[in-house]
Amino acid sequence: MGTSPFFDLDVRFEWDGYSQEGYSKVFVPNALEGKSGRYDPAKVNIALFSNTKAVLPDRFDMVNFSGFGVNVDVLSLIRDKEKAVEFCLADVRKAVLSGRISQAQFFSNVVRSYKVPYVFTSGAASIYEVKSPKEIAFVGEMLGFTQRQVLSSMSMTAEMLLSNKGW
Amino acid sequence: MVVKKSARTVYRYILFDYLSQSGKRADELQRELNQVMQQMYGMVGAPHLKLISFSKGRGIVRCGRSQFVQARRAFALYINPTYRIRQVRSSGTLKGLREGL
Repeated sequence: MGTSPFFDLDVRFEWDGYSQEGYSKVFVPNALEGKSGRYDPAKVNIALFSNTKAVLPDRFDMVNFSGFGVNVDVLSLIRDKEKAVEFCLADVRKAVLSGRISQAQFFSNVVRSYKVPYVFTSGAASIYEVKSPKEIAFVGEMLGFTQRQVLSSMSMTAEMLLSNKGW
Repeated sequence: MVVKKSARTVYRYILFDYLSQSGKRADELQRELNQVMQQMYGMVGAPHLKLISFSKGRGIVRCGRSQFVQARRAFALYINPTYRIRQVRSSGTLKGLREGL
């Protein structure tokens, strides 16, 4: 696992020094809200799915369940389309600080049992918020994943998503 | 009173980098780290950290082995708008931590 290339698909600022943290490449995503979100083929497109925005756009690369609300139909759709669910570190942090970590753990159990592809991302908005792959793996353990599963999601699953886009 | 060897607290040591534009005093950092743990786990369950050394942007903290995983996760989740703490490695002894550098 040590030699695998790692990708962070959700970094919300221009970051040049990503190789120092062990990443091969990082991506600034395009957020799609609701049905009318515009798909940008030059970026990784993340559809935001929550209780208030419970509609998916026609095209997307990943889906972010920010409130960790379980929707089995949507999860099955993501699996069938060979897309992925995003586990963003910023969302996990919010869940921990607001006492909703059990909801996040339940959601991750459902994701695993439905065999939906998933990708861990940092969701960093500044240079002080970035995390190395190993640190993200520590957080993934909170949700019931092993470190190997988290690291593999950031390398192999992310690579699969990028190759599906033809990159 | 002599404490049996098996009953003594076993510690883990975490080496970290302190990345920031500005410096910070060791006692300030010690206080902040314990606040972070309390924020994450509450006053009762928070792991107690002791800052062993801190200079030139690099430091070592000590925590009980039973609370090590909690401390590591809290470090990984913690963000601050002015500085960043990056975990480098951990060890069961200070000697092991310094030898690996």
